Amino acid sequence: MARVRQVVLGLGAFLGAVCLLAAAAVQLLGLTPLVFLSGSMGPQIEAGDLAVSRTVPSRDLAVGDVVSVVNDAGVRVTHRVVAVARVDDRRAVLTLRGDANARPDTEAYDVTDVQRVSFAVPHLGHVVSAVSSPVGRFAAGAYVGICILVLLHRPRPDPRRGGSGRPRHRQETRVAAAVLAAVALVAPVSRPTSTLASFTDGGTFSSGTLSTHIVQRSSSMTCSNGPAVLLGYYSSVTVGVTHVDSRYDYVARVYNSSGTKLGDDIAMSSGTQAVGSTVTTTISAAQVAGLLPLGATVTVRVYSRLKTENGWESSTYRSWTVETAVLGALLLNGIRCGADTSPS
Amino acid sequence: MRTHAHRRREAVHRRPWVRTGLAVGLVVGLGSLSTMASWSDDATLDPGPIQAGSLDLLINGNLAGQGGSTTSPSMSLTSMVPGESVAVTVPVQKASGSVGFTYTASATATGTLAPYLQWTVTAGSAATPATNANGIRTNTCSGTALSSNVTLSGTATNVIATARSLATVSSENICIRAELPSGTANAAQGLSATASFVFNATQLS
Repeated sequence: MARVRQVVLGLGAFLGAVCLLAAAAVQLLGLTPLVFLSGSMGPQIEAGDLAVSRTVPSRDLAVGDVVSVVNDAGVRVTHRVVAVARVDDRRAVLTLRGDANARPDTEAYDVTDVQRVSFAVPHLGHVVSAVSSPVGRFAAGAYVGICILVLLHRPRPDPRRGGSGRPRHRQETRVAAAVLAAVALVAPVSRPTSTLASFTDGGTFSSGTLSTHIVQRSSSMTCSNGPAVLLGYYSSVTVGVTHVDSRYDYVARVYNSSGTKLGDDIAMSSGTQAVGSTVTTTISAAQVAGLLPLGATVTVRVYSRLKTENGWESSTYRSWTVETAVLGALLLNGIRCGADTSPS
Repeated sequence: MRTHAHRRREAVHRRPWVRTGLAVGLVVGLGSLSTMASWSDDATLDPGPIQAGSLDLLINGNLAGQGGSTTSPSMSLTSMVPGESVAVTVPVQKASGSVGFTYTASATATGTLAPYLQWTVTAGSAATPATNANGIRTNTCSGTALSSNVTLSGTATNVIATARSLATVSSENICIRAELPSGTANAAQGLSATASFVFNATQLS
C-alpha cells in the first residue's frame, strides 16, 4: 500500500514538474509551442510533432527558415520560406512551401514579425494534444485529485514506532481544499496552438489545340458564253466555281488590267447546293459596259467566304479573263470568256 | 544499513505534500503552455485532428500524387470559324484517403489565336456538341459561371478566384468552354492556341 502511494505521488510530482518547467521556459523565453496537425513538412516535421517557435523580426528571416503564419482564411500554416521580398526594414512578403508540396502556397504572406520554428520534437504533439483535450484535462485534474486522496489516506501507524505523533487530519483537509480550489481555477485551460503544415496539390489541365479555319479558294472555275450578239461576242458570260465547303458562299469581283477593282461585289450564294456542284453567276455585257473603256480585257476573280461571317474570305481566288467590245455602229456591247488565269 | 534505509524512507514519507504540489503542476503547466500559445495567436483555432494522410487532387480522374499535367483531347477544335465553341466537363476530385481541400484555378494560353478566344468556366457540365445547318459547331456549359468570356494570355488569369471546397463531397464538375466569337476579324484565320488551367488545392483547416 505504501509502495503504491509512493509511485502515485512520485509520478504526479515528476509530470507536474515537467509541465511547470515547460511552462516556465515558454513564458521566460518567449516561445510558442506548435502542434503540427498535418504532414506537409514531412519528412522533417510530421503530423503529430511538436515544434517550438520564437518570434523574430522579418529582417532576420532567410530562405530555408521554417515559419508559422496565419493565412487569409485564419488558418495557421507552418511552411518553409522559399523566397523573401523585403518591402522595407520591418515588412517582408514571404513565399512559403511545404517540403512535401510540389508548389509554393498560392498566398504570399505580408509579415512584420514572424514566428520562426527553432526545433521540433517528434510525436510530442500527440501527447500535448491528448493532454490538452477535454478528456486529457479531466484526467490530469483527476490525477491531482487522486494524489490528494492518497495523501489523506495515510498508512496505518507503524506498530513498531507506536503510532503517529499528532493528529493532522483537520490540517490535511484544509490543505486539500485549497489545492482543489487551485485546480478548479486553472482547470478551464485553452489548448495549445495547432498549425497545419498545410498540404497542397496542383494539377494542370491542358486543352488540346484550338485552331481556326483558313478559308480556301474554290478548286476550279469555269466560264461559258451566253447568248450571241455578233462576231463572236455575247450578251453575257456565266462564271462558275466548284462548291468546296458547305460553310462557303462565293463572291465575284471585276478587275481591270492594272488590278483596280471595278464596280460592286457580285455575290454568289451557294444556298443549299451540294459540295462538288458548281455555283454560278451571270455577268452581262451591260453590267461591265459602264465600268471600263470598251474593248478592254477585264479579269473576274472569285473568292470564297463564310456564309456566317462575310468578313472571313479566302486570300486567294480563281479567275478568268473576259474580253469586251463595242460592236461597230450598232453600239452593241459584247462580252466573251477569255482564259483561266487562276494563280497557281 | 537497515537503519539508514529506514530513515530515508521515513524522510520521503514526511514530504508527500511537496509531490502533491508538483502534481498540481500537471494542470498549471498545461494552462500556461496553452495560454502562451493562444496569446500569440489572434485566431481562435479549434485544433482539428492530427491527420497523417495526404492531399491529392485529381483532375479528370488523372494526376494521382503531387502535381502533374493532363491534356484533354476533347477540349480541342480545329478549323474553327467565328461563332463556334467547344466545351468540356472536367471532374475535379478528392482522391480517396485525401484530406479535404479548397481549390482555385488560374489559366494561361499560348498561341497566336489566344487573343481572339473567349473562355468561360462554370460549376457545371458541358452539353452535347451541336452542329447547325451552316456547319457551325457549338457547345454550352450549364451551371453557375465562375468566370465569363475572359481572354487568356501568357499571364495567369484567375478563372476560379473564389475557392471551392471539396470537403464533404469528393468530386464536382467544372465546365470549361472556349468560343471564337462572331465578328472575329479575318486576321484570325489559320491561327492556333492552347490553354492550360492550373488547379491549386490547399488543405482545409
